[in-house]
Amino acid sequence: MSDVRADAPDTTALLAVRGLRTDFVVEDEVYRAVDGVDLTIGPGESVGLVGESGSGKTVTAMSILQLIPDPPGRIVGGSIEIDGIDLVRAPERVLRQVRGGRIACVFQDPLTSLNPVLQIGDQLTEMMRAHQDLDRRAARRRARELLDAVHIPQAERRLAEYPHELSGGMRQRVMIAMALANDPELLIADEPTTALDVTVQAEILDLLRELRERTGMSLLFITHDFGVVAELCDRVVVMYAGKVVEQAPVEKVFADAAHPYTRRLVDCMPQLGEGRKDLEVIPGLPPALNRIPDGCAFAERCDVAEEACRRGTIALEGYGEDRLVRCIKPGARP
Amino acid sequence: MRAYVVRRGLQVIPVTFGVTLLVFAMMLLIPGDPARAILGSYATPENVATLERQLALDRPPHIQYVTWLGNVVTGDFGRSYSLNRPVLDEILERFSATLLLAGTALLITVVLGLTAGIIAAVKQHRWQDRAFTVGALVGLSIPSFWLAMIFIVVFALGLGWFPTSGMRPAFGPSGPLTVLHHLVLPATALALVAAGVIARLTRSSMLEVLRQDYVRTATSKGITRQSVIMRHAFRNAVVNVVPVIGVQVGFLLGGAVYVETVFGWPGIGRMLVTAIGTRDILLVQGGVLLVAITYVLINLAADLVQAALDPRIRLG
Amino acid sequence: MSASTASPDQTPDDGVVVPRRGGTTWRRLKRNRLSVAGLIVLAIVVLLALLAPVLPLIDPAATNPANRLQPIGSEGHLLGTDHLGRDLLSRLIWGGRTSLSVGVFATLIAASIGSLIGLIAGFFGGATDNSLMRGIDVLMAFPYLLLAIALVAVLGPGLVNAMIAISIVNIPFFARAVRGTTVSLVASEYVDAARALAFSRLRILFREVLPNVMPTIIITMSTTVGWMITETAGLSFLGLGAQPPTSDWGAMLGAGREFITRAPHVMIVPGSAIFLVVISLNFLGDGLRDALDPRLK
Repeated sequence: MSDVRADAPDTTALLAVRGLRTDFVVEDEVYRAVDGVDLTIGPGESVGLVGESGSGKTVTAMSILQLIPDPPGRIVGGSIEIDGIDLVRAPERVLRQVRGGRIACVFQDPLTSLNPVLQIGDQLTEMMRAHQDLDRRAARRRARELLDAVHIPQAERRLAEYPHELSGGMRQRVMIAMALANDPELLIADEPTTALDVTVQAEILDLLRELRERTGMSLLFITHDFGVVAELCDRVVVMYAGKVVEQAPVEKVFADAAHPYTRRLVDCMPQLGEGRKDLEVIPGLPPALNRIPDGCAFAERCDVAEEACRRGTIALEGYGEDRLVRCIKPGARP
Repeated sequence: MRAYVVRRGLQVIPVTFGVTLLVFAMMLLIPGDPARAILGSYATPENVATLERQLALDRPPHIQYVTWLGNVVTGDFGRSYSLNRPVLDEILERFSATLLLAGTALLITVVLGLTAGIIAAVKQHRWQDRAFTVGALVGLSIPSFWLAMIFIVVFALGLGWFPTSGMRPAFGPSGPLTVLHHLVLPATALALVAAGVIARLTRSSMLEVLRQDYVRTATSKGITRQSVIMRHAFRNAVVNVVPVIGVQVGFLLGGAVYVETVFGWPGIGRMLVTAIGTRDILLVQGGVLLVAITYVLINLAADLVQAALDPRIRLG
Repeated sequence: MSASTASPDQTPDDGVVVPRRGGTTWRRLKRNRLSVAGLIVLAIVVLLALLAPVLPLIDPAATNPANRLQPIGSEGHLLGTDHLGRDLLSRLIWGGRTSLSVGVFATLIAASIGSLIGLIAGFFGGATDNSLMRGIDVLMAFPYLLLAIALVAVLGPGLVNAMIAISIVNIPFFARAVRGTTVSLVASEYVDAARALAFSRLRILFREVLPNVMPTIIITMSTTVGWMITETAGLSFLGLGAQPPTSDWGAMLGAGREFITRAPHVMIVPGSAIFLVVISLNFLGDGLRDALDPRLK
């Protein structure tokens, strides 16, 4: 469970995730993908959620809108509040208003995330008409404006095209246009550039930055790439083995990472344009989620770990004035 | 789409050619003298000689084939000796009865199969899934000739709800209700096997589609669960099911032989069985050819519908 | 071809590590209760059919007109008697010998010829492939049962001819499945390796490709054997298969049809047997497929 109220309950927060726990049950084995995560996002704030594959960052993000397939996944604890509504316990009808309305998503692979047998225009207007009282013509007009807004040329023609007729970058622009259709307060972007070519990645990031400046919406950006975080985010939350291990303003993380894991991530940060030099630089693998060891889950791979790191429960504690870290030797260097 | 239609349409030509060749070959393979087989055992030697000339039976096989094909294309399927009427008249009349039966069965197959498959997939791991999965397997394991008889024992003889046999023409003097009354049992008996196949395929297609990313995207849009399932998941799953529905029409047309026999339905299947008994080879040939060509065209139609539903096939 | 080709991560997360299902195919199969039930039923049916000559059964051909159409459970006749007073239980078991062996033989014939066509087409490709598969297309262009009936019309009614007809009709299923697997195998590395070692083509075909195609053949057999048993019974039912005095389940059904009003059990008994065997085969086949491909579960 969460041991510290991450940011003490903040009435100004747009979204507050508290003590979230999400399990996957496969063949009677329980995999604790998310284990007591606290996370708040303020209005207009941009938060980067960072970690390796399997750290639980995507499950955390997908839990927010209850997009985890059940079975095998299930939220077993915690709350996710927006304006006093707990999405974990909200009835389907309320949840639907939030999905695509107040909170919208952009996913990793735009080819598989768009419906292959529906025209782009229909997929866009469907999003709007689920939340706004628009007739067909008005929705169509707005769809074209949205494509213009994400810089898709010949928007009118694109509306009648199918996803497979567009390039990868173009498809992700469509996904973003769709997400913006109802002027959401929060955009959740789950590794939106990972599946794209390197040159296109930069374009999509530029687009996201531009749209955020223009609309003032909040952003939860899920990535394994600190380089992207540096460009786009105000605050960063680092996850490891289902838990938050560090939380801090972006510039402080880069200057002086408190958790050894964060430090290693920052160290092996690829320069944008170099592609995925990647996190394999950290030797070893994260622990299996059905067999998480006592103490610090990172201890096995940590270059400053000692005996005490492998015992008991290590809490997420304050570090400096505006940071949290789950480490008994924060800031230690080998 | 046009390019696809042309491409797929052209494939029909060699297949149809092969079908006519095979149906023609029936005549050659039959033991004994074909002209005598066609005319029956009471034919006079003069009649036999005339027919041999007409059908070019004294010429090499490829000339025979061309002669035969020419006749068939102009609608001359010969004359049935056992019925003493043109084969074409008989098979068209019988075929309309079979189409009524098989068409109704197809409707039941599609409605039942798709519905059961969708529900089973959406309720995966719940009792509805188990019930429909086992139900589909039972359906496709029951021999239709046996099921037809069970239906007669239970619903016609036992409960007296439906007639045991007979048919009313779809556009005849009896009202549509009477027609339907006679259709329910045979069409259902015929449909269950195919419905089982369609249900299983729909279920597995839906399960495959339901875990695709775009279904998650659809959910994230805030549309109703029903829209997610029908407009997004089913709309994709059905693309795989449509060609198999076309194939199932073949099972319905074939299975009609049993059901027509049991219910005394005056269709082409029962005609074939009788014709084999009387060795009326022209009747068998004409009937098989007509049904096979129909089936080729139905598969063409199914593929075109599939293309219409999936832009990747249509435009790719 | 379709939506199913887009295959993203099965796991909902970027990496919740889901292990491969452990254990052998057999262990997975054992977990499926319906499959196990199917296997047991089939074992019993096959055993009864094999043991027919040594079981204490009444002569299946012995008529007794005074004792005709006796109901199920009557004295001395557990399943009753037919219209000639013959013991239905005995006829069922003896008829089962015929039905099952005809079904199995038809399957073996279709599997051998169909697989051979598929192997050759897939292995040699090009014009060989094209002409063979066009032929298969033509066979597939006929509605399933209709082609069998047309073949019987040519060959003449009879059990052996019905079996041949059903085998021919099923050849395409094997040819297509085996060709598909062969094509992918030929493109794989170890066939290249065998080529590099300058093995003869036939040796590669039968020593390298065939063993790897066996699973495909076995799966196709498990899905078609039930149809073949049903359809040969169907032809007998129509009077196009087994001719008296030979009798299989289909012929018993055909005879029972005449007495559907007075003594429905005469047709219910053999029909139930066909149904039981076919559904057991299907349960078993499903379990096998799930065990081999758990993804579809």
